[in-house]
Amino acid sequence: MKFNNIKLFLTIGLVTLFSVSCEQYFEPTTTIDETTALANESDVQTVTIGTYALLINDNYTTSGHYLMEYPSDEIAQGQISSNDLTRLYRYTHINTSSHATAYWSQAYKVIAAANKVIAFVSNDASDELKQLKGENLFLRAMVHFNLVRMFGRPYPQNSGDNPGVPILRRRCD
Amino acid sequence: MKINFIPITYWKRPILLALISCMFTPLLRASVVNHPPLAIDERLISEKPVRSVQWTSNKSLEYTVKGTVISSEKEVLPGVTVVVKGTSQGTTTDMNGDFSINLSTPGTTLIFSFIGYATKEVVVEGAKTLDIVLESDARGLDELVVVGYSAKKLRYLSSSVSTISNEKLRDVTSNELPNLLQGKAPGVVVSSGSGDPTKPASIVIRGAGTISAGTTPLYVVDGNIDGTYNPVDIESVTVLKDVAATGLYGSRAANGVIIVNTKMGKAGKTEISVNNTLGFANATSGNFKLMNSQQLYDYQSTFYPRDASVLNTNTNWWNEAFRTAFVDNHNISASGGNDRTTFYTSVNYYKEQGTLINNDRTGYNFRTNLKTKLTDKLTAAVLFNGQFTKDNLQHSNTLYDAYVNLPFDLAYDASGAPVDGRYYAGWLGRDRENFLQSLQYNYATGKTLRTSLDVNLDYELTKKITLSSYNRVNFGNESGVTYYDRRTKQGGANGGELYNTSNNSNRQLTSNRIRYNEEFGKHSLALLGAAEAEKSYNEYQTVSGKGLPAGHDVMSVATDILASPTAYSEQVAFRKFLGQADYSYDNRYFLVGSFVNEFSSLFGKNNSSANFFQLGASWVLSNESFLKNNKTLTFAKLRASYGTVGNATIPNFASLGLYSISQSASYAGLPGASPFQKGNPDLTWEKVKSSNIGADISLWNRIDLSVDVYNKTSDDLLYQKPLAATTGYSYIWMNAGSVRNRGVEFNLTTKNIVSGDFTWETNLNMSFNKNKVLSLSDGSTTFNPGNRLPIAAGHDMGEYNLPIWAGVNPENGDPQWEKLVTATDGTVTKELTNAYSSVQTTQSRQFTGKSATPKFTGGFSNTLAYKGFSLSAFFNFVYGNWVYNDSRFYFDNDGLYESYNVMVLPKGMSRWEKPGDIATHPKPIVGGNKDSNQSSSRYLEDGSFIRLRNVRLGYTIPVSIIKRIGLSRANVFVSGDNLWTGTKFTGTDPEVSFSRGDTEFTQGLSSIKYPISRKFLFGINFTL
Repeated sequence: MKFNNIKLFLTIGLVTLFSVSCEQYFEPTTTIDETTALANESDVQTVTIGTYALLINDNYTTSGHYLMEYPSDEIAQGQISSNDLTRLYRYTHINTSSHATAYWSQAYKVIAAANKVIAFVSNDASDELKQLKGENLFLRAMVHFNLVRMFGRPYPQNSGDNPGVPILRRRCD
Repeated sequence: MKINFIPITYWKRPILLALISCMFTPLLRASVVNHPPLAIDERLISEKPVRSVQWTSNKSLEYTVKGTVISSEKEVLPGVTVVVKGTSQGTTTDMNGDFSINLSTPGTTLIFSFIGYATKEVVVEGAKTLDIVLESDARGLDELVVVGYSAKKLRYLSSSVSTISNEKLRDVTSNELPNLLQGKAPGVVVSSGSGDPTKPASIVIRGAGTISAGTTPLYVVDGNIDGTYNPVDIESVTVLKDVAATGLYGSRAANGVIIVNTKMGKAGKTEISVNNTLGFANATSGNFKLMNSQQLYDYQSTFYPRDASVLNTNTNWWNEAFRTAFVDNHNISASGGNDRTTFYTSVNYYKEQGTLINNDRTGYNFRTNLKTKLTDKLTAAVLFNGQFTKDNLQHSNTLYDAYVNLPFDLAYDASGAPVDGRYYAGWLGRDRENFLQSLQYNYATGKTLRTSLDVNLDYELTKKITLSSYNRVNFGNESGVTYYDRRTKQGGANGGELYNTSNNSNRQLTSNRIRYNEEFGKHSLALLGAAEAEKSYNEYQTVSGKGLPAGHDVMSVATDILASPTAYSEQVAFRKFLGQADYSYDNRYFLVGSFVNEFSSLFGKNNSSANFFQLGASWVLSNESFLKNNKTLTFAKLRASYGTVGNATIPNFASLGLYSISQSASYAGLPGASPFQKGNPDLTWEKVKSSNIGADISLWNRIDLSVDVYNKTSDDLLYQKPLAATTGYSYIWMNAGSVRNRGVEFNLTTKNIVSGDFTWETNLNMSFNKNKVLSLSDGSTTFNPGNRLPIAAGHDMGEYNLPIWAGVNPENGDPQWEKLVTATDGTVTKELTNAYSSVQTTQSRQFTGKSATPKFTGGFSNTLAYKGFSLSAFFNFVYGNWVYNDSRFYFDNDGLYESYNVMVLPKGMSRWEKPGDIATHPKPIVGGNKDSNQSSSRYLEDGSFIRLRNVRLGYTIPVSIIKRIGLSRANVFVSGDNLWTGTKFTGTDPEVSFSRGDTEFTQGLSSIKYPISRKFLFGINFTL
């Protein structure tokens, strides 16, 4: 019995150690933790590329194309389609339009990504960093401009006093 | 079977070292001192035959008792354990059911026990020859039920469980356990969203209590979490429903636990069984019918006149897409062993064709379960299962086209070749696709290989302490190929497309347990401690190519990539400690308490471990003196339990704030990083508080009734909350709000007639569940507003929120909806409108009071047996749920899609034709009548149904006949699945998925439905 006791405690010790060693966290493989994504100056370029990448997403390009071109005279719809583009073509807009929702949310993703870089780079940073900050400022302005064009009331109405779209100035955590 | 063992000294120590574990041993030791003598676990007696003891004594009192043990069916029983009461001395019966034991004291009691039979005690005074008849344990109350970490007699359990034997399980023909469980256990709601044999049904136990986490129950196979199995190898399935039973599975027990035990061999004659089932299946079409050419021509003439020449063609696309499908199931198994080693091995082939063309599943399954006593104290079990599954997946819009293609279009040209809709002059259907043409070349297949290896060791340290180590390794490999040939519509644009996906996974799990049993006087106590660790790894890859030569389908012949390849991998770890104390007094009062501490890498760093506790109690009234030997009330028990469990089924890394670095974040060939997921380091388990009160009653040993009432509250619901687009993120994972499920369920089994040759048994089980969202976090009243099934405080989670359809305006045939108008003083009034855009807003949508979850579900079965014949009929039913018949958007569209086929209006429905008509359908207009087919309560239909799930007639051929050809048992049967369904639903089949967390089907939604099959089967089973 004595001998068994020793063996027992030994195994209990080992198994506990082994079990506790299973208390580990893992890192994802296609994403990185936000605390390390924008931690130093060399990250600024990577994240700026990420801002550009959000611009070439279908939600911004394809849906933007449908929203802007399909109501125009450049397009003639030859065949009926269950795609929401039919509503854009016919001016029968509804507020749950998939293309409007896609464009709207993708635009703010670009703005939020740009804001992170804008907040990270101080105005007395190196020229390279200020160049990148400038690019982000430009992208943010361009997207805001397109949002107003797409979703704001026409400027002549109410002498331009109608609200346009929400402006996201700061990074939002 | 003889096995030579390695000498003890070589292996004993390392195994012991590897073996054991437990945090709780110091506590247990203290108990050893305080609580004297022993309790022999029933399981030990029945599962581990005690080796025959060589008994040499020079006392003259010694005498020998011999005898034979047979069953009440007059079959000899090998491997029956014979033990001298109060000792470990004993033997087992041999191949002929004979035993012989030497005894020394007159008046010795012998205990005869065997799995599946009632234990019998016989007092012997002197040398004698005994003929023992063991009654089969038909009532089941004395049956040992494996409830996860321990086994106990059903009679003495304090928790709510349902046990389904292999025989009851396998009346319906399917290779998937969920499909077999449908309607067989109260509180277990199985729903199949599809008749596709590659898509098993989903299970919800006692209502869904989560928003975004899964509702799938946890499967425990042969004592360890997850694992693989095939229904043919299942000995029994036990469903654990309340926390007293599920609690030990802590963070993964919130949705209930399904315990699967595979067959083990029995000592005795080696049995070889061969089972074959063959049959055919057809798709059920219910109340649904599509128009033929004449019908469609007549209908369209009212708003879209066509040239009469279209009537020259009348293609029934539904019939082109569906077929008579074959089902094939063959199984050979061998089992047997001796008093030290037993084995079970089985090979299975299952093939089920889908009723839809080019869709089938083929499964190969191999299992070997080996159990051996290495020494008197150490038992080892090695279980191996390998499964290979080949799927031909439905693809290429076949089902969709079957519903919507026009009967005016030709399927085959004059030469008999399928027409290519893209180029065929005069093709009228919208999608210009003939699936028969593309199916000649296109395919989508999936292959899955899964293996599971278990090594389980039980070591009897002392009479009272058992140490166990249960270990499992799983490997999985899945691959998928989808090929679109350049000659088809799907592959035409890119000159052929090829998609390859693959997935590799492995999982290691070790569960180390210590068990302590103590008995003194009328008290008995069992303590259990366990430490578990688990780690899994998964990797995924996808590659796609384009520009492939016609008919060639490997990646190397592709001339270019279609989309950039992707790959990723992920790991998850769990760790668990648990302790359980199980106390009983005089088999009358039972108390069980447990505590679980668990860690998971899935959760936020601030909350990665959690504690859960459970308490259960029961009182067996019928063992009290005032009820003992009562002829009417033969068994009565009251049960109660309370405790907490958790739900951990969320995606990996849900708690982390992340930047994506995948290709979607790259630009012009440069790697980038863009914000992807908002972090929530406080994310934690969903916590479920659950209480259960139940009673089990038996009258005259003929009527068994179990009733359970439960209340289950889930707090900290895991919710993938959509964020306002202006935050720049799509969603955040959070713990939000609480949901309650309350219900009653009962199971009634009656033996109506038991007279000699004739028996008739009836079972009825029903469960009623009510779901309610109690509160939501952040002061919200509604999550996902504007959704068909939003989550709103005070409402059922399955309650539809839709624009309310107000019928057709009799004056002009316009569609009408209810519009809510809020006056300046805040009063809300309803008015009718024909403008859909004004009613589909979040403000104007209304709760319908109709829910996707049923008011009650259940099953009803009758089994009759006369001599060798048996006849059983099994119904399952669902009542009070509403189905959103989404496909009517396409084939019931009031003219919006004149290039789609249309359903024939079922009885009770009519179209508006002239002013004054009271009709259900608006006037059809080219281009659609004012959005009449948009989402509204119009397509909400009563989903209640009752289905004759199975009828089976079997005949067991008398032994006298088959003995001559060397068989010991033979049985033939004919069987029919899903022969009849009673429902008001207008689609092909009313059954939809009730599972919320289901990714394949949305709760309550019927969309381009793959109807379930009606099967006719013939089977022959025999045992050598």
